Amino acid sequence: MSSFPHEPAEVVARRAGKPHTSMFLRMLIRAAVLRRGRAASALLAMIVASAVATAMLNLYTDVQAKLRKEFRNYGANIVVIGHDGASLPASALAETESALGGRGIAVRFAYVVARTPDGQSIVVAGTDFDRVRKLNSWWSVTNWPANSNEALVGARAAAVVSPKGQAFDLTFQGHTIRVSPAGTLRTGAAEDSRIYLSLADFERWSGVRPSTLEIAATGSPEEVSESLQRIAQAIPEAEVKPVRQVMEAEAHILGKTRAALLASYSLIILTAALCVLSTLMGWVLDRRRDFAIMKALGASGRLLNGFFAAEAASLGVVGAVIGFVIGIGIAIWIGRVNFHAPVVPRFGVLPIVLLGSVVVALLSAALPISVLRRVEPAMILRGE
Amino acid sequence: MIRLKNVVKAYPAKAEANGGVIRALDNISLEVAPGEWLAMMGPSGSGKSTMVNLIGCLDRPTSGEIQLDGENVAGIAASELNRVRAEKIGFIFQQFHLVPYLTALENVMLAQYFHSMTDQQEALEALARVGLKDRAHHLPAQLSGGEQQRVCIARALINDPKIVLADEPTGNLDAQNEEIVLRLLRELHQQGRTIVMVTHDPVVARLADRRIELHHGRIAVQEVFSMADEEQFDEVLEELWVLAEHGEQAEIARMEVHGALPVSLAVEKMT
Repeated sequence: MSSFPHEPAEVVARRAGKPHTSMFLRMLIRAAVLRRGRAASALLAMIVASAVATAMLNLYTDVQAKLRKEFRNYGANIVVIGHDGASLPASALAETESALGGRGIAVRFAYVVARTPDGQSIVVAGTDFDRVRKLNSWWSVTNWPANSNEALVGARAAAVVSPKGQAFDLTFQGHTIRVSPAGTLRTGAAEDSRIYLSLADFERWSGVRPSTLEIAATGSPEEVSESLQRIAQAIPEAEVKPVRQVMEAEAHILGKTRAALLASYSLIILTAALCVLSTLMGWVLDRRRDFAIMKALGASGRLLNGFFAAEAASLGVVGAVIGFVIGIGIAIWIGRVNFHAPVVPRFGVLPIVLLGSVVVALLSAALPISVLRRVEPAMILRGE
Repeated sequence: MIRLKNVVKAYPAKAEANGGVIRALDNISLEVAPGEWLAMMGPSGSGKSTMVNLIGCLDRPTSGEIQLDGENVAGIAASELNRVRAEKIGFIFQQFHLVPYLTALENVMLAQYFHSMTDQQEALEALARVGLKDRAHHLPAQLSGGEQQRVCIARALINDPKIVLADEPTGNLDAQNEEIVLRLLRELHQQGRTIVMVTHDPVVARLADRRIELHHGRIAVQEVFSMADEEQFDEVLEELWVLAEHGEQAEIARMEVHGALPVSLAVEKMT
C-alpha cells in the first residue's frame, strides 16, 4: 500500500526486480493438498478407470497369445505325409525343425498293420514318446513307456491284446516282437485302438521308416501358414497339409473371443470414464466460488480455464500412473488364475492409458468449465 | 473518477413469460469525484449490489454509460474488463471471499498474480499494515471474521487500485473488528482512494463524504455529510464543555452514544 494510488505500470515496475513465486504451481499443489477429500475422490475415480483400462488392454493383448498356446496343447495343426504313403526322407525332421525356427514342435510317426497271436489286425505306430508327450499333452496316459520293448496301448486295443496287462506278441511280415504294456492311452478317438512303440523298437522290428510328421506350429494363423509354406518348400517329396478343423476353429474362437473382449472392455472403460466424468464435474462445479473470486480479482478466462484444465490433467496423469501399476497387478492375477501363467506386463500400454486418462480428465473438466464460464461471478459471490 | 450516465440494468422476470423485465437499476446517473467516499444505502433489492457489480465490471449494463477513470467500460470486451478489474478496482466483500485453500499471504499474492506478477515481500508488508503479519501463513479457516476481512482489505489494496468497492464491509463483524476495519477504510480515504461502500448501517455511512439511498433502482435520497459533520463537531465540543464545567475528565469511553459514530472515529474525522 502506498500513500496514493499508483498507475498500473508503476506497480509493475516496482515488482519487476523482485523474486517471483510460481502462483500457478502453488495453487495447484495447495488445491490438491488442502482439498484432498475432493481431490482424493476424483483421483480414486481416475485410478479405478486407469487400472481397469490397463488390466483389460494387457489381457486383450496377451489373451490371444495365451489362447494360441492353449490351442497348441490340443495337438498338431500341420501334417506332413509321404506321397502315397511312402516313407519320409531321413532328413525330414531336421528340415522341418529348421523351417519352424523354434516356433513349434514336430513328431515322427510310422504305421503298420500287424497281427495279434489270435490273428486279429491291429494298427501299430512307432513314435518318439518324449515329443508326443509335448505335442499331445491332452492325451490321458496312465504311464508312459520308458524302456525298450515297452508299449503304450490304446484302451480298446488293450482289451483285445492284453486284458490283464500281460506281455503280448505282434507280427508284421513274418517278424514278431514281444512287448510289455507300460500304460494305457485314452483319447476317445482312433488312438484308443492303436499300439504305440518307440520309434527305435518299431524300426528294428518292422523295418518301416516314418511316413508322417505331426507338427504343432505356434503363432498367429498367418505365421502358421508361413511355416507351412516353408516346410512344403523344404520337403518337396512330401505332402504338407494344414489340419483345417483345428486351424479354422482356432481362428473362429480367436475372432469371437477378440470381439467379445473388445466389446466388454469398451463397455467397462466407458463406464469407468463416465464415473470419472461425473466425479470431476462435481469437483469442478464445487469450485464455483473460487472461480468467481479469481474472476473478481481480474483473472482472465483463459488463465482460469488453464488452471482448471491443469488440475484435471494432473489428476489424469497421477491417476494413470497409479492405475497402471494396479492394473498390471490385476492382469497378472487374472492371467495366473485363468491361464496358470502370468500375463507379461506390457509397458507399451502405459502411453495409451496415460493419454486416455488425460483426455478423459480434460473432457470431464471441459463441460463444467464451460458451464462456469457462462455463470456471472457476481451471482456466485452473492450466493445465488 | 466514476461516472454513470443513464444506466439501466434489467433482468428477465421469471414470473412473466412474455418478455417481462425487472429494472434493477432504472436510468441512474451518478458522479463520484476522485478521492470521494460514497456510502450507498437502501433496502434489500433496491439495486445497491447491482450498482457495485456494474462499477466493479462484474456485470454489464443493459444500457447507459459507465466511465471509470475516464474509460468507458460499458461496452468493452470481457478480456478488457478483467484488466480493468485487476488494475483499477479493489473489492472488499461482506463474506470476505478468500480462497479457502490458500494462506492469507497467498490470497494477497493471488491479486498480484492476476494483476502482473507476485512479490511476496510486498504482500507481507500489506498484511503487516492491516496488523496481520504474524497470521500471514494461516488459512482463512484459522482466522477470525475480522482478520479475514483485514486480509480481504490487504488483497484489495495490493495493486494500488484507484477505486475501492466495499460491499457491506462490516456487516459480519463485531464492534471491535468493525472499528478496525472502518479505521482502515478511513486511512484509504486519506490516501486519496475513491471508495464506494454499500452499507445498511447509517452510523457507518456517516464516515463517508456523501450518502445516496436507492429505492426501486433509483436514487431517492442524496446527503452530503459536511453539514452533519459540523453538527457532530458542535455536539462533541458541547459535551467537552459540560464535562469541564463539572470538573470531570473527558474520556472517549464515557462519551460513546449508542447509535452514533464511535467518538474516536468521529474525532479523527474532524481533524
